[in-house]
Amino acid sequence: MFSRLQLVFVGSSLLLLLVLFELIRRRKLEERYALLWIITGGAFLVVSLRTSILDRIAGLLGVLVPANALFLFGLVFMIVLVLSLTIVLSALTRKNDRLSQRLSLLQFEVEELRAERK
Amino acid sequence: MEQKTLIIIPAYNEAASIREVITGLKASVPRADVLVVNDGSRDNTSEIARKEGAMVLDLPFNMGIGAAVQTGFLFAEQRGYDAAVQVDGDGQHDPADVPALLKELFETEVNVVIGSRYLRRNGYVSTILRRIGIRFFAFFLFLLTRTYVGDPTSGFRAMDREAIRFFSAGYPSDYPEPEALILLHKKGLKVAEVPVTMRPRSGGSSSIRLAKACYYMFKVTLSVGMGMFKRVE
Repeated sequence: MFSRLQLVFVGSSLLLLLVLFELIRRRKLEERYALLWIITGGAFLVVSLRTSILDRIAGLLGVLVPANALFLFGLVFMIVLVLSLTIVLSALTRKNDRLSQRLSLLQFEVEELRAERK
Repeated sequence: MEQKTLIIIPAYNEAASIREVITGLKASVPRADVLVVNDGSRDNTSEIARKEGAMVLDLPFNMGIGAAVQTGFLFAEQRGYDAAVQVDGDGQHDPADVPALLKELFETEVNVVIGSRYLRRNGYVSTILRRIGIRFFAFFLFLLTRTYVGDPTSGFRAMDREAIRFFSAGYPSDYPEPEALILLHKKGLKVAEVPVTMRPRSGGSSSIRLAKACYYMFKVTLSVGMGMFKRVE
């Protein structure tokens, strides 16, 4: 039967998936950025329903308490997510720079044309 | 044929010094066009520069020296300038030295000419710590590129068409000067130095200097080192 901890994990993975669903539906979260979250939420759900998977992985890694393997996954996920966010941020910064530069150049040309027309 | 030259002045809150820089440039290089890239100044740098007859690009917010200078290169590239000279807006660089930079650029085979404060033993050479930092980068860059540039952090630079085209496509962001030298090396463009006299920056000491210096050393060492591994177009 379900242990209490297992219930907590199942409940929270379901809640996470529900929140993700709602955020995507309201267009507050882009699908491509939600992908990593959905995979993680799904994996957490599967692992907390079938704890034998977790036992096997814990055995493979040499983790004594299977639940700790779950926390380890949580941590790894956080690192992957933060790293991917930083990559997205770097790309956005570069695009933002190009856009602002282009804007100032166009502004100059508009002023120039306006002065020519007079 | 007359060479078309653009002077690029990146300026962030330089209302106190920009007028003098522009009038100085108009006197020493009267044929060159002067472009001030106003990097989101909160003072009236932009208005003063316009009044002095410079062309002005207004960036919508403060983007940092690298992005500001690159905007100047984009402008030079779009309008077909033969040479671009980067001059600081704070009055540290002497407009009277610009012709020497251009002469070296046009009369030799190099693509970039750097104004170095260490080739001539006069003028402002900055504090001892800063000199040690600069020597460190000069040595580090020499190890990587086998070309010795004595003043690799100097932002007083003249570039030809090829260098303008290269940098308008991509230029390092903050504290860009040493990293730019690595990128030039990877691209196979040649660099030379000519002696200039620098003046001390007017004012501007801050309490976060140490933290800033540490960040500077870390950031520039990382970006110079990584520059060796980056792809260049």
